[in-house]
Amino acid sequence: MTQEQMIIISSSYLMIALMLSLQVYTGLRTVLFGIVLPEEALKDPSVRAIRRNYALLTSIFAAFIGGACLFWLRHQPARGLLILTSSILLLMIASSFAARLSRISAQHLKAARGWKAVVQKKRTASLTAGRMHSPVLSSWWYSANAGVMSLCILLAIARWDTIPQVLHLGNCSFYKTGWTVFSLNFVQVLNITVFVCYNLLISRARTSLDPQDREGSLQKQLKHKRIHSLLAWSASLLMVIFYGVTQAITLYGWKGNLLFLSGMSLCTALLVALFGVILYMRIKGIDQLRDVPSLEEKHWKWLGRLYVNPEDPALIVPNTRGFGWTINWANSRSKIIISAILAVLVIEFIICYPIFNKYLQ
Amino acid sequence: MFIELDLQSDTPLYTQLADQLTEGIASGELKPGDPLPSIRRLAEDLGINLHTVNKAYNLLKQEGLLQVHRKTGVIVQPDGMPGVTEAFEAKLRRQLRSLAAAAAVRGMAEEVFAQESKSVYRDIITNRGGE
Repeated sequence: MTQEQMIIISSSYLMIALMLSLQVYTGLRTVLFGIVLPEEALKDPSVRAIRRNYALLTSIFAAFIGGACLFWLRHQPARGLLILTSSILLLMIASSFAARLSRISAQHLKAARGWKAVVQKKRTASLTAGRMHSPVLSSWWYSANAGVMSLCILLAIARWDTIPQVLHLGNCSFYKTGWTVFSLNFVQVLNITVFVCYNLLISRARTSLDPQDREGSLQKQLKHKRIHSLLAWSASLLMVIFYGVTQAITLYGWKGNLLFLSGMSLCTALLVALFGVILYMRIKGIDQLRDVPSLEEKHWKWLGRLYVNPEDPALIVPNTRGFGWTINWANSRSKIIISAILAVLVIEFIICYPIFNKYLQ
Repeated sequence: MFIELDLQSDTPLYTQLADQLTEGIASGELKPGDPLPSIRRLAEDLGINLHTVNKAYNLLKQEGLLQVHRKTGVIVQPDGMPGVTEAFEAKLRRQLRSLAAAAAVRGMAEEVFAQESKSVYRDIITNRGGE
């Protein structure tokens, strides 16, 4: 196994381990593993202890699983992708176990302290929110992404005759066909489509306000949407550029290690942007969105991860546990979104898996 | 302009919504031709049933305060508000009767009741520059 492959596998694992461990510090402070707490609970050190213990436990699991997989990798370096996938799956199971324990602790703490989360019986909405100017970026911003993709396609068409009959990408070799030359452009199309749809979903997400701070919560929600929209567009643009660079390496014989460098740069940039945004929203309190209709505990299933409320007409609601929004699984339209997400994942898996598998052998 | 509904109130939600929209138009916060959120959008934002918002919008449409179009959506009546009709006067008398009776039972004087009514009316239309 080369040094590059080792770096890819270990940094991917570390990134996911970090996100799983630290996710407990994102989202609503008054929701602890799906258990809704009153404001006074925030001052209780036991609440902070439960969060800290989850992060520690998940980190310990991550260290053990990472160590075991490293050992496995040393003995079977040809199974790099399988080992990485297995380690991530194991880590997700372990973090779910840690979340389950933490939720039980939270429930016991709430019962012991006699805390009662006040269920808000007032509902507030703005008649003019987003009417003057949309809080999200217009879809026209994605013209830049489409422009990069078009450039890649036009270059490939213009230089078709100079493209060799056998294409190489890392350890992979392909015969030159229409599909192998343009497959990454197809991935670019998929990427742009997914992010445009995500942008539209953000714009359609509910703007439910806090009756106790109507104007403040409205501004917070609009800022929240704008930040997410900007982050999504930037991530999409970086990915489209990366796919373009990958295509150029394959078709025009650009330096092979450029793939590794551009890939690592992309991941680093995305991670830094993600953490930066989460930190910024935390500091400014923008992530503390009190979406009143969805705050009742009984609607959050599976350790507070899934929102299921048949009485709520909204399809997209703010995620209390972490970042962004989540689907109301009780809404009939949610099946369309879930089917679309699964379809995209399957298509990307079919296209990218053979390449990653060979690259990591 | 904000809408605030009380789920625990005895007043039905669609009535609360219709009343607040009417107040918004009366005070000038909602001007003729102003667009309102779609039924689905407002229902989602408030977290209430679509039929509740639909009922409120239809009520105001029947009274001539809103226009509901499939393509352009919901807007405040741009072509002038409906005038005072006999039907409206009858409805006003009906609603005032119950309020007057409740006031009389509590020993409120006629002048005080009239003064309260005047004060509430003035409060609503003050934002329009007063008339």
